[in-house]
Amino acid sequence: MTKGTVTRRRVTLALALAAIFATLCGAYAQTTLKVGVSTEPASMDPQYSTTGATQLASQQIFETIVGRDKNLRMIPSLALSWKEVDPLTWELKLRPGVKFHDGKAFGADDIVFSVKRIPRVPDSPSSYKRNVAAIKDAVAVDNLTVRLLLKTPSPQLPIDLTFIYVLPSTTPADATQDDFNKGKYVVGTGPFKFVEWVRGDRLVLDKNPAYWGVKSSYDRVIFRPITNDPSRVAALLAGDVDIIDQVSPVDQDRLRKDSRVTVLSKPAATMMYIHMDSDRDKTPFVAGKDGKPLAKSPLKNPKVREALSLAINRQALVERVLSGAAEPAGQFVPEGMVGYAPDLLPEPYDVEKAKRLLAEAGYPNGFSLTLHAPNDRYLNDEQVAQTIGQFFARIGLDVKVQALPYSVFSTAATKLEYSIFLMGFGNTTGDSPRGMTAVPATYNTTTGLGANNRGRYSNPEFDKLIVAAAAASDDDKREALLQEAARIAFAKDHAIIPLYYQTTTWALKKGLTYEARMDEYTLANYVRPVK
Amino acid sequence: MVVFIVRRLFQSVVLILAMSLLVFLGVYAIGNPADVLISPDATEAERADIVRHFGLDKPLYAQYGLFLANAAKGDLGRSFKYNEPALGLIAERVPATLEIAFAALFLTILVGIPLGLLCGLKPEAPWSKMIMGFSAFGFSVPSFWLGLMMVMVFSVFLGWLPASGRGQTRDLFGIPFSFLTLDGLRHMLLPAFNLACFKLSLVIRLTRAGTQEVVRSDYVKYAKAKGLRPARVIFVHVLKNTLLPIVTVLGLEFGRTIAFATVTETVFAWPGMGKLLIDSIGVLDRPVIVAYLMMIVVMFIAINLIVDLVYTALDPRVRLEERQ
Repeated sequence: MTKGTVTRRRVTLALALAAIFATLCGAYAQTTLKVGVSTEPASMDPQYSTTGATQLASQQIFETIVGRDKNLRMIPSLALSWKEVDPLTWELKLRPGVKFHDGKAFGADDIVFSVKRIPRVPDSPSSYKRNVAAIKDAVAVDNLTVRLLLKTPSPQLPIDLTFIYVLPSTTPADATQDDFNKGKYVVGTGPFKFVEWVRGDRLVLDKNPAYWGVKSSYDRVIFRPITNDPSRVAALLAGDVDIIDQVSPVDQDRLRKDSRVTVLSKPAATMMYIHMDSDRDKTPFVAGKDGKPLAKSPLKNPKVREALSLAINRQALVERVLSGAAEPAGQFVPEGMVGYAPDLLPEPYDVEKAKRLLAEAGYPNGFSLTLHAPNDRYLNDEQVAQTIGQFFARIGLDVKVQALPYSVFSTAATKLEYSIFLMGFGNTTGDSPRGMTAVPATYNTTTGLGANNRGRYSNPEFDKLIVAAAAASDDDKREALLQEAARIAFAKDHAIIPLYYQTTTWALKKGLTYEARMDEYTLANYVRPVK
Repeated sequence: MVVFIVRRLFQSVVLILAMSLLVFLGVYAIGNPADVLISPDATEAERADIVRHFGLDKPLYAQYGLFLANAAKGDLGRSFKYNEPALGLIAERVPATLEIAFAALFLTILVGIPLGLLCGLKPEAPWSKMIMGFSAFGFSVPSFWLGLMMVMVFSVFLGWLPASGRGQTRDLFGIPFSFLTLDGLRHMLLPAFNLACFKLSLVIRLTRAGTQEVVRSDYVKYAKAKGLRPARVIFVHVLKNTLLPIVTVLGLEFGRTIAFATVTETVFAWPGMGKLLIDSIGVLDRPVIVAYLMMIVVMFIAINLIVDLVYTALDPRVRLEERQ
């Protein structure tokens, strides 16, 4: 035997083995996507908690009646269309041919069941009850038509329907949280099927090959909660996970330079603002420069509030402190959302005018204040507060900044223990009414307005517009009313000082891409390899 | 003896009650869960509903009374966030924490004692100085920083070990454990070392000091003079006598490891009890925080009680004091 034959035989053998190996791989290769997320769901029951972390899980397995695209605009989901028959009746036409993960066909009775189940889900700290509050009854007209009968006219109904996750009508009425969390009854129509949930460790999902919408590029998806920011980044760099959400600005700069990683950003719905006590004459954290209390709190004067707003260089704040992970804000919602007024631009940076306004208001020499802020809630919240303190000092104020954990901070802020503080609000509905009703509207426990109005700003004219907008069924009219309300709150009264809209940032392994969303969710079926 | 045990048990109950009051007051002082848990745009009626449901509208003494009454029945409350029994949530996480705590303990013993012995026998050798340098490092470096550095070096730059999580688990008696799979062991190595680092440094120092002292003692000199093999002298005569204080310290440290693995668990996203505690504090999930701290209090009291009882049995002097 010559040497050549041996070599040739070896090559043949190697090729044969390689071919067998490749076939085996082809047959058994299961593609897995690993997602590192900053938060963890509270439950597998999609109707238990409205918190973002819980909805993130629900979004993969279940679907809502009306859907939302990446810019939070409403799109058909399980309902193909929705229309107002009369002010107290809405009709939904449903998507045909949809199946639940267990094979049951989706139909009108599932919608009726899901709408009626929400008020019966017990003990939730953030319930979906509000989303069905206007609905008196739900009736299946035929298998693909549902009528919703309302208690009061509700032009906002389609928005509420984007929060109603649909379960099969076969779900037992007495199913407990424990049943759901162990995986029983976690059956939806969404892009992924539930496999297992180990709290604190992982949520495992399998691709739903029969999904009607955008199918997953991976057979299996594993969500892993990694709450610590640097640990999440390390997990991505080490290859433990393929994509991570909520990349902090500190890490963004570094990751953008790393060739192994792709960084994606999207303006998010969270608006950061400065809230001021604009109600009390004596407010706890404002005094004269000599430390003696002032006769009347300067924060009550809209001129002073405007001066504070003019003192802030939003562009510099966003670029330097947040590494560009935000966009300057001049009103409650960013461009593209309902209620955005194009004429309300972010306040320009104007120290001279700010000083002039202070003098006109009767404080030519300034005053002293303590600015409070959370230090663990929003992107670089403490540094942002420190920077704003510096800006205020430039117009002649004596400023102290105090940052506290959110759990302590929010309790005190709600009890009105602060005078001026940094806060954020998530515009998760993609329009302005939710935030405008919660923050600048007059605090009133009966009407439910102003639930987050921790500065107690009050202008009846503003309230009137907001209430009228909620009742307006004509979209253009509603938009006009909301814009008018925004002009009063921001241009005229400076009820709060809008600072910037946070952007959300994802980091992915090179070679993957994601359709970044305004609602900050990481929807795994939109993660795919770059072609 | 019986009197002693009864008295100690009575003291323990009083101690548990006192601690429960302190824990309850402390957790109450942090803030109001209603402000963190309830969604920001909830209406006032919804808020009031939830607040009433959680019993947060009752005065503090009434909340505490209710807690005690339920605790007496073995019910430490339901988690606000998960709406599941707090004790169950904690029990679910116990295996993961015990697993790395034991791994850390083994690492400490297997690495710490031999290294300490080496240093004690040859204190002037260069590698002894190196080991002592390492132990000084292990003492003084914060474990949070060390954990992240280990991840950067071993996971990110070298890519040898995974950065976080438990990896693949296998069930033993129906409980998932990581140490039964290769992947799980790889995941355990960094967190276990991170958790062991402080204890390791401590044990190296204790063993070294003990060895140096014992080596000079008369019976070791006698053993050497008798012509025993050096290995026998070291492992039987020296090591045995050095071990006593180390065992005591390790016992105490082990309790601390279980209770306060929080930092390591957070850095490595290890799904143990400590991570549950931190996450619960973040959302002011009071029942879970209180249940966790109470469990730790009971654990420490039990460990101390057992240690005392063993001492009484072992040390005649303690018994004598009892009689007097």
